[in-house]
Parts: sequence; C-alpha cells; structure tokens
Amino acid sequence: MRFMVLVAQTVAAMFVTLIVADVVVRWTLPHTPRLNENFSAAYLQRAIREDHLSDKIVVIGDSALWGYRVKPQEAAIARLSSSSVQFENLSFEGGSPANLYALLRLMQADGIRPKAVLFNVNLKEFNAADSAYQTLYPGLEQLVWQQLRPEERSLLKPTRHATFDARADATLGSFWALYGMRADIREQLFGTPDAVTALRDQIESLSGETARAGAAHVPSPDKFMGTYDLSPLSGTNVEVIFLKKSVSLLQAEHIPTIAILTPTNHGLLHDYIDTPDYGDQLAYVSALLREHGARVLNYDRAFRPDEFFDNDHLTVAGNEHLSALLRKDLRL
Amino acid sequence: MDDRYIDVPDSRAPNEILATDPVYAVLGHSLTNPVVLGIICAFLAIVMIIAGPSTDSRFIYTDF
Amino acid sequence: MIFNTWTFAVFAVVVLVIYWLAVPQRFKPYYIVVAGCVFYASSVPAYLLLILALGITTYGIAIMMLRAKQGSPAKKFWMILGVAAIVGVLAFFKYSKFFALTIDEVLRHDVLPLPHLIVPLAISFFTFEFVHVLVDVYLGKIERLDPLDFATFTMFFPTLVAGPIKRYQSFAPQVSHIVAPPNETFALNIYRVLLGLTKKVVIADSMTLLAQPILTPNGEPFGRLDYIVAIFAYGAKIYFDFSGYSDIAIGTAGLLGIRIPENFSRPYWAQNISVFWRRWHMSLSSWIRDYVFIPLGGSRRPPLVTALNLFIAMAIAGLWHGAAWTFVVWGLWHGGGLAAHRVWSMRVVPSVDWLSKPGRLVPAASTVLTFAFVFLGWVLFAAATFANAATVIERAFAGG
Repeated sequence: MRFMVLVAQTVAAMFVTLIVADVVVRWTLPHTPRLNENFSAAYLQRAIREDHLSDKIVVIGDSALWGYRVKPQEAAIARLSSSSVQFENLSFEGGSPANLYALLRLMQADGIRPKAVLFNVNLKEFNAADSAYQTLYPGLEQLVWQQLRPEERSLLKPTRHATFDARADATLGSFWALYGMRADIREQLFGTPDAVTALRDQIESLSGETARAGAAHVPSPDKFMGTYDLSPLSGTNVEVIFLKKSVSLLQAEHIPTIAILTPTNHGLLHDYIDTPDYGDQLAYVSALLREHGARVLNYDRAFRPDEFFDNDHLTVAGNEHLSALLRKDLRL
Repeated sequence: MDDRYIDVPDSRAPNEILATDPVYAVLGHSLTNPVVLGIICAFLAIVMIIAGPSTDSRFIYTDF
Repeated sequence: MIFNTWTFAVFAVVVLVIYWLAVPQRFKPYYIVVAGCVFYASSVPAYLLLILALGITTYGIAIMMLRAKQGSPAKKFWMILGVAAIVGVLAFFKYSKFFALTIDEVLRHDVLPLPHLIVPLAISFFTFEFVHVLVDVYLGKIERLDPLDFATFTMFFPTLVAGPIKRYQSFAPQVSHIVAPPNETFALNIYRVLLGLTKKVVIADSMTLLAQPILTPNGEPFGRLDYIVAIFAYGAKIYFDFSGYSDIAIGTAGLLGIRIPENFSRPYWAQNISVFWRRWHMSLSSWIRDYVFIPLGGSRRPPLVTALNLFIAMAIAGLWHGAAWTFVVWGLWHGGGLAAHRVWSMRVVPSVDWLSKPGRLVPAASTVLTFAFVFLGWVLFAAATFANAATVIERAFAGG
C-alpha cells in the first residue's frame, strides 16, 4: 500500500531527526555544579556515570547542602573544590537518610567508590510527619527500586504509579535523552521548571506580586510548629534504619565518611527545639554515626540566626561560613 | 446564531484546513513530502518536550 | 483514555496498523466498533453498558419511527419518548446534584439528598448525537438507519471523548466505503494530530499556571496585571485545549479514512458575536441552532420572541458545558450579545452610512470589541461561583 510506504518514510524521517536531536542534547547538556532542582533519573544516572566520582568527595545531602535559595556557585560545596580535592554535590531538596542509602546503593551497583562521602543529618527528617519521610526522590526511586531488598522496599512508600503511562515514561526516558532529561533541559534553558513558570515569574515581578509574596512570607516560629518531632529516636524509625544502613555500607566499603549535624536556626526555633529532648536526639544520631566509623561535625549551633533564610537554609553569607568551617575541619 | 447560519461543511478538504495554517504558509505543498513531514513532526515533538509544562515539579510522569 | 497520554498513543498506533494491514474492507466498521468499546471501557467499564444501552434504545426508537407514517401521532410519540429518555439520562447523571443543590438553596434547607454520581465520560456528547438522530428521523432527514453504520457512528473513538458532535447523514455513507485516503491527506492527518497535541501540551496546559488568579481568586490578592494576564491566559487555554483536542480527533478520524466536522475556524478573529458562534465549537453551535433555536421558532418570530429564543438557546448551551449557574449565566451573557448584535445589525448599521460601508477601522474595532466581550465571558465560565467572578473583575479592573 502506497500510503503505508508514505507513513514508513515519515516515521523514519521523524526518528532520524529525533536521534540527531538526542545526540546534540547528550553532547551539549552541561554538567552542573549541583543537581538541578527537578533532576530526572536520566540526569542523575549521567552524573553518577560520567562525573568521575571515584576521584571526588561525593556530597549527599538535603536542600541545606544543595544550597536552597542561593545560586549554584554560591552554595557551600561549590566553594570547596580545588585543584587537589574535587567535590561532587549530589544533594537535593528532600534528601534524607533513605535517599542517602539509595544513592549509595546506586553507586555501589555501578562499581563507584568515591574518595569519601560527606552528608548531613537533619533531625526534621526523622519526623514521620515530614513529607520526605519514608519516600525516595522519584527519579532516584526509578533507578534504584529494583536493587533494594524486599524488606527495604517494605519500609518505603513508593511514589511511582504502576500505570502504563508511568512505565512508558520511565522506559522511554531511559534511552531517549531529550525526553528523559526534559526537566533538566527546561531548567537549564529557563532557570525554572518550565517555560511558563519563567513567564509567570516575569509577570509577577512586573505586577509586584513577587515582592508582595516575599514580604508576606517572612519565616516566623509558628510556621515551624510540628517540623521537629522530639520524641526519642529508636531503631524502629525508618530514617534511623536507613541512616544505620548507610554508614554500615560505607564502613564495609572502607569509604571515609563525614557526617554533618545540620546547621539549625536556634534563634528562630528556640521555643521548639531548645530542650533536652533535642540534645538527646543529636546524641543518639552522633553515637550511631561514630559507632560505624563516621566522623561527626556538629554544626548544629555553629551559625548565627542572620545566616539563615529560615530554619535550616543558609544565606550566601551562611554558605560562605559553612564552606570556611568545612575547609578548616577537613583540612582542605 | 440565526436561520441564515451557513451550514458548516461537514469537513474541509486538506487544502482548506491548511489555508490558515502558518506552517503550510511557509512550506506549501512540500509539507506533504514524507521527509519534510517527518522532520516537522519531530520538530513538534521536540517543542512539546522542551516547551511543555511540568506537573508537580518533583513528580513528573507524563507531562508530555 | 485521554489523548495526550502514552496509553492513547500506543492504542491509536496499534489500532491503525491493524486496521490498514489486517482488517478486510467489509470488517472495518466492526473493527471500529470494537476499538470504540475498548476505548470507552478503559475509563469506567460499567459505563460502556450505559452507552450501549442508550445506543440500542435510540436505534430501536428510530426504527419504530421509520416504520410509522410521516406526520403520524405515533411517530411523534416515539420521538418525544426517545428524546425524553435520552435527555432524562443526561439530566440524571449530570444535573441531579445541581438541581438538588438549587432546590436546597431556594428553600434554605437541606431537603433533597445530594447524589454522588460519577458522570459517565462524554455523556454530553453522545446524548446530543442520539437526540440529533431521533429528531432527524422524525423530520424525515434520515430515511434509513443501518445498524452497523449507527453502531460505528456511536462508538467512533476519535470523537467519543470530546466531539466534534457528528451528523449521521454525513458520517454513515462513509462507513460502508472506507478507503485509504490519498497520500497527501494521510500525511496531513498525521501532521494535524501532532499539531493538535502541540497546541494542547505546549499552550493550553501551560496557560493553566497563568490562569491561576482567575481559577482560585480567593485568599491573598494577586497584582492587577496578574488578573488581566489570567483572563487572557484562560481564553487562550480554553481555545487551544479544545481546538487541539478537535485537531487530534479530526486527524485520527482522517487516518481511519473518515472525515468528521471541523470545530473551530479562528474564532477570536470574529468581527461580531454572531460570526464568533459560527466559528467557535461549530458542531455544538449548529446543534443548538438546529435542535433548540429553530424548533423554538428561530428568527422567524417577532423580535422580542427571537431575542428570548436566543437567550434560551444560549442558556442551554451554557448548561451543557457544566452543571452550575455560572455556566447558565455565561450562556445568557452570549445570548444577550447575540440579541444585541441582531438589533445592531438590523436596525443601527443600515441607517448609519459609515457603519454600513466600513473602512478598516470599524472591522478592527469590531474584532477588538468582540474579543473583549468573549474574554469577559470567560471569567464567568471559569469561576466556581459568582462571587469569585466578581472578585476577579474587581481586582482586574477596579484594582480592588
């Protein structure tokens, strides 16, 4: 049938064009100083496989180490790399001990042994009410889920839907770079999750909405009520379980481990966390880390309130301070 | 709306559909060439992928 | 199964490949019916029984009408019974909660229980197609109703979700003579589908974010510019969403070798509201004209009655879009616009020289005014309540 030949020619031309576009994307999409805010599974996999992690100190933290609200080059970790020591920042918003463990397993599966691993422990992530509790970042979950043991999977709440569309999405994304890394491409092009968000931000800055929203959202203590659960930690807490698994894995692999107790704004959160229970949680976590050979850097009270945007995200000055502390403590 | 409403043709021929299409205005009849059509379709797919909106920013499944 | 999903993409490709490579000519209609059943059942399987039951009922009643003499009381009886049954089912599923809420509000008391029904997918579309068949059989415009043609008409999956609302007389003759379209047409249908997807994904779905101030206006107010942009964004969203869907439906139908009605023809370029409704959702507006406006007497009645007919017709069009009074008032807004335009074009324009022989300024101004009228109407269409609509208008134009 002539029209089937036509269709075949059209589809072939389409595929060739898409393949060319894919090659261009793989070559030109930059490797960034930190993961994109909405990184995809494909992008994470590329970072793990192509960024020479075995020669670097890999940082696996949450938004505090990612550098929330500061530019990539202003984040503390970005300031640390030098000619003698290179850092790779694999932190992301929503990072947690479960995500730390998942990333370590992913690197282990690819045979990657970094020079050292640096991560932060944030007590809010042990709160069962926290949105990240018991969940993995979707892109990471997509890559690592099959590698987790059944008892590990049973501890987590999967975010992926078992629909045909979700599976098709994951399958296509695994080999079609343009599609798989579309979130990263958009972020690189627009600086926001997508084009329309960039357009909306422009409109809101013209209309004054950005300024108004910024003025209305000044962090106040009441906004953090319930963020920290100060009941005693134990081995039944899912994030404690994964923290233990993480440091056990690192110890078994003989990978030097440095754990940061996250800088916390005690000025803002005084009414909630300046209690013996908070200190007990820090002590519990520190003991667990040291028991498995991790070096613990306690930065919990090392920062002034004016170095924070909110409860645990550092300003540019705060990030400068953090990088100075790390440089000193790690003797860089 | 009135009784003099001109009956909508049941469907317009491809040429009529394309009369107001901006791509056709540029490419003309070559749009029906399979290679050109394939490239155009690939281009549309690329535009959809790059310029389409994300859903919940961290939970992107089929925002295609 | 919505169009911009991988599920539909795979479904459509598989259906089309088998259709053209493996299904013999005479079995193609059966294949379309089966594909349509699979397509519809993928939403809520139980409602497949509903559409099949309504289809069989419509067919049965139409056959009874065809057997009756033209103009006989029996024929009229069957037509009324059939239309009442179809509209009754539509009213039950889509409007029973709306009616119950309205009565409770009027009586200021929870008198009626609120039903919790899942509205069957596309019920507004297929019920209108059934009514069209019944009325046209009654009027003698359909003289023959082949069961396979009718089944294919009912379960034609490209139009099952969101139209265009088809006409049996132009659809049926194609069913028994399905041929592969010329290469040129086939290629352009592929392009049409992708274009429709692009309109929907890139523009329509993106506009949802910019339209947020109009969709959720309560709480902290946005800036005035945000509301104005939101009104334009909503108008763009609804056009590109619907016309994109129509493009996909028309293109997919074309790839099956069947032509279906166009639905949009650059409506925002219309110079008056009457032309707008000849270009916007054309399959619905022609249905409203043929089965509501003209049966009410159309424009062949005294001016006031014609105006009333326009209001009624457009109120029904509004209610068809959604079970809420905001949709009804949106319809009345357009009814008012059409009535006003009628007076304008029949009384004012002929008596004013520079209006009856316009240069370029008048058409341009007319287009802008029509555009503004339509976009203001979208505020009502988008708002969940009248209070929300008033809030948006106030904040956009009065800076309140």
